[in-house]
Amino acid sequence: MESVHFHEASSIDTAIDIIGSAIALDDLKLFSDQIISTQVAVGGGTLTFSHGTTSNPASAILEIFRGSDIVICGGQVKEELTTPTGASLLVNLADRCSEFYPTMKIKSIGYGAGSKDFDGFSNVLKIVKGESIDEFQLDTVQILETNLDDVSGETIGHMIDKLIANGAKDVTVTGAITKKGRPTNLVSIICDPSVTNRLMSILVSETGTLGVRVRSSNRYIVPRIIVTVPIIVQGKNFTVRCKIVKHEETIKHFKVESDDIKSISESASLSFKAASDLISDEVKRRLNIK
Amino acid sequence: MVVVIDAQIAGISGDMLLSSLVNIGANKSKVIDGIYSVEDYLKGSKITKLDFDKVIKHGIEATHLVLETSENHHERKGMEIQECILSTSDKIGLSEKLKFLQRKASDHYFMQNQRYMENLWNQYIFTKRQVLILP
Repeated sequence: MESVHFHEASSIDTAIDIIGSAIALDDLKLFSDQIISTQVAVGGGTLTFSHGTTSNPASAILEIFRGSDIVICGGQVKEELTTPTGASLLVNLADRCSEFYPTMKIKSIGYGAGSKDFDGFSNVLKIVKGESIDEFQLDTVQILETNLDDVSGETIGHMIDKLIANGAKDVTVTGAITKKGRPTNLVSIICDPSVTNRLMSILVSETGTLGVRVRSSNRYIVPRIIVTVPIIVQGKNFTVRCKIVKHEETIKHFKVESDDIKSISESASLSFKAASDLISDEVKRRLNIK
Repeated sequence: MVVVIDAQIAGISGDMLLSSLVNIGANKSKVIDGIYSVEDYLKGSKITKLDFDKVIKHGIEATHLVLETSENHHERKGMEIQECILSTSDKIGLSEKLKFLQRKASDHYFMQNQRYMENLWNQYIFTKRQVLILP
């Protein structure tokens, strides 16, 4: 942090935008709502600043969006449309990025103007608050299946770990009997379409399978959020990750990440079950769950 | 309830977000008073003009941030800005939860230094939602 300098004389502006937005968000109680970002226009062209000329979007903005769910899009003008402050506020506020508006009833609309004027479009940010109609979110996954009748248990175990590490959302292996009474394993993998090819190569190289069935499936998922909760176990501070399912402000269901339970059970010399019970109680207390 | 932030056409800057929140109904004087507290923590900078007005851009009436500042320092260290944001939050009594959001947003902003960024992510593993839930 000590080595990071601001180069443009806009540093107080940043503080003002961040503080002002936080106050406004607090006043509007928008933290209780699900915040969705659309695709973000980043403009184009070049930008000259104290370190010379760079192309838009500049490095700061690329870094801020890197690894986030936010989709950026270049155009319509050869100017900077999204600033680092805007990007960082958005990345931290938005729960997800969506191509289209969700199913919703509209309650209120806000327009915030940028300082420049452009031909061909209105330089305003639009925010729309409303009541979501979907209780579930819809997404698309791909399901990969194959049968393995001549691989060892160890190969299968290794395959599962490798698939998960490379982006599979879930891997299930079921035992079955096939022709000639041979035991076989039905492997079923759920993944995002973007990793299908990668997972297929892994399947083929790790197991030697000669065919993989692929199909797309729509999937309804219950919206869930992952939070980090600080807890105290045996007088020591820990943090655990929990998946939370909420319905209208009340927490309906929570699940603590088992790796976190495991590491706490090891540090506190407790059995997994004892640690799990203790942690659950602590989390319930912390989150005010009855 | 759901909120859509639509930056598809004109992108997003800090002042556009702030103005859109005022436009959708945030208390303008509360926001302005809170912003003035920033001055106390950034020595050598003054806010000479601060208000929100209405402008029309291609037929759409929108709120616009009017801001004029005078700064003596041309360059500031990242630490200063972050301290400023946190101290202002304390002073105006912004709930703990918002301080976390601000800290994350300001940390993100300072990520010119990649290694610094990696350390930061190791430290700050919460998402925004955490702060909603902690009492």
